[in-house]
Amino acid sequence: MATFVDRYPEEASVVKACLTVAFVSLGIGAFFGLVQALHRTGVVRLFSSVDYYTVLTAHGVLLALVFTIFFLLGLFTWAITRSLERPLPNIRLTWAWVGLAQAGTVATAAAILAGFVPDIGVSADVLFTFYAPMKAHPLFYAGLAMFIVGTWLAGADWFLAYREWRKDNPDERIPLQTFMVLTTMLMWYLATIGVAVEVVVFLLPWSFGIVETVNPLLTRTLFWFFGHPVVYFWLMPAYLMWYTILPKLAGGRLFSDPLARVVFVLFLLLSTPVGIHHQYLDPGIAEGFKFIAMTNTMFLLLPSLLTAFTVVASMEHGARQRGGEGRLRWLGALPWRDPAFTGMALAGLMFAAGGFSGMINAGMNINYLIHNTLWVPGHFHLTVGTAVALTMMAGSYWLVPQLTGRKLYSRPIGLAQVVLWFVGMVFMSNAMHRAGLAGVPRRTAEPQYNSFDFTTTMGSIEELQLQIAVGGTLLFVSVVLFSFNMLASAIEDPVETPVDDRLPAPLSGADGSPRVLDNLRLWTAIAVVLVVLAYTLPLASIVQDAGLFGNVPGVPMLIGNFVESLAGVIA
Amino acid sequence: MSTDTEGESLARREPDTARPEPERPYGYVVGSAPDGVERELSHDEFDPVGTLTLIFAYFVILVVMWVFMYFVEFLGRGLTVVG
Amino acid sequence: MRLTPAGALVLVAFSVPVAIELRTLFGIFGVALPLASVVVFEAVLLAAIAVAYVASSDSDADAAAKH
Repeated sequence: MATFVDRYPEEASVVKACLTVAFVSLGIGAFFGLVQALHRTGVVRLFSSVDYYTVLTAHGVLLALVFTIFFLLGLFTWAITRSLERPLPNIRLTWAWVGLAQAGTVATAAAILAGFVPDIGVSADVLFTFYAPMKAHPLFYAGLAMFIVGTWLAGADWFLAYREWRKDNPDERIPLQTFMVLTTMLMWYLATIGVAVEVVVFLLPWSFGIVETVNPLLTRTLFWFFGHPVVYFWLMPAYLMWYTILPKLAGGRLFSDPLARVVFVLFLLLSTPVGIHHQYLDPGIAEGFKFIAMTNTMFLLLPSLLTAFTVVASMEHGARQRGGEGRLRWLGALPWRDPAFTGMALAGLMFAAGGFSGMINAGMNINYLIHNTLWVPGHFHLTVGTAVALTMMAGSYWLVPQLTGRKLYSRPIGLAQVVLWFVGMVFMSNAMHRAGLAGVPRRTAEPQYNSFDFTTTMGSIEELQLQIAVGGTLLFVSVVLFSFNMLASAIEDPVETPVDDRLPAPLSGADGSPRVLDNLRLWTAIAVVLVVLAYTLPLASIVQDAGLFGNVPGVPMLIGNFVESLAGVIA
Repeated sequence: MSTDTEGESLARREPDTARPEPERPYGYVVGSAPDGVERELSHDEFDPVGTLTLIFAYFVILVVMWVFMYFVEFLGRGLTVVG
Repeated sequence: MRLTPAGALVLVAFSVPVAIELRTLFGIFGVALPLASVVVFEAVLLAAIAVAYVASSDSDADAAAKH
């Protein structure tokens, strides 16, 4: 019973190259996370608060962009090869995009880390949300551009593989994993138009000094055009694992293949025309446009709730096949000792909790309660920080043995690691949400003020700080355990069957479902129309207000003009 | 070196180790939950009543928290003036 | 249904948010509890899980003895 590495050795090397970058940046990024958690809670301050934004930028970029997206590149390469049952069409193209994305990552990381050594004269303390008026060294933007182009080429590679497969299988339904990869990449192409324009047309020339000014609101809006769909670019690999791997790990089968396709189509349609919901408090964008973004955002709850049903039902199917009974007792029949299963199940549980705070964020009026407070990092540490990151780590326990042909070093350590992540995140995220409600700001090295005390509805600020510090420490220990387990697994002896890699067919297959679900051209066209509808008027009004490059008096301090034109737009 | 620390009886572990496949590592193999399947359930035999229970519980928590949020966090504070 | 060691571990993890939020729940009804109450809640939950674990492995051993 050969596994992935025996059938596709070249592709396995590609996946390993991607996962290695992902895990290295996970380790570095998690260390910066620990440093930050201890610094801003005042427990231990290892460095000057002046360097806080360097730490924060490194933490955000390395984890939210590099770890997640490199894991995606590896996972999707594995999924395309496995589900199409053929090697990639041109392995040199494959290595080219791997190299380009890696080179871009090194450039970006170097620009950020150089900020610790002022003598070099290079810095990029612009945070993961790299819009004006904060400016980075050109190396940062150039590296980022290479990284994004690398992901575009990866998508092209996967589409080529699909086209080859289509030639030989003209009438078959697209295999489910390939369908997921292709819809996700179409969403990504659409979404990255925003960041490409932002970086290439505005930030890079501005950073080089070719243009004097930029229109900050325009760069913000272009960033969030990309900045919201990017969260689904993180989430879709987790969804791919929840839909196609988790049911098997539970001992069951996917409940419905067509429902999974519907969910991915909905994400392609709705991910992008929502970015303005990050800008509810931005002056210069009329309330009406924000309302449209909010409406679209609420529609996005639909695919997530569909997912909750399908994935839980698939897990229940496994539990019942394993002898589970009753309304809730079946939960005990799930294979909790498998770290891959337990990690993904706990990640899904936390994602349900993240759904609550997400709904608060998405509401235009309620958002004012928590905007720019620590609540928001609390929210996304549940979503990207757990639903995505924990699913990726748990998935690695099942995926990596297929790539190396070596078994996992220690299953109990893996189990302890995923449970520790869950407990650590409960402490940290819970306290962050509460501190946010008390008004503690995000993105602040020392959230403490003379003659002002935050008042909490429950307990004290000190205990919330302590919870954040303890939680952050547990999370870091969890990453150390994960890295150790992965390293030790790499030097195990190869065995014939290191992991059970069979994936059973869904209970309800694609055959009976409408063929229109596989019409990628149609869905892409609708997605483009929705983006045009949601963004044309806001972008036109922003450019009309302050010019493409903001070359009107007073930029970037344009509040007065914004309010006037806001009144104009409303009237 | 995936030692099984769960202290289970050898008899219980038998289905894992007694498989005829060669070179299967000792102990629990990641992803081998299907080995524990006692009965095959087809689409029509499977009634996801447990899923209904969990989703319903989630829905109730959602509604309660939403109502709580509205009264305590929203009505309980002063006016927020924007613009 | 036998409570496995891994199942017990997951229950222990799940008890942490329950213990934290029980205090919040009391807070909603106007009962302000000190931080130590979380520790007490957690201790009670851990004891309950331990009892359930021992009970289920005992009944499991009984069932095995009958065979």
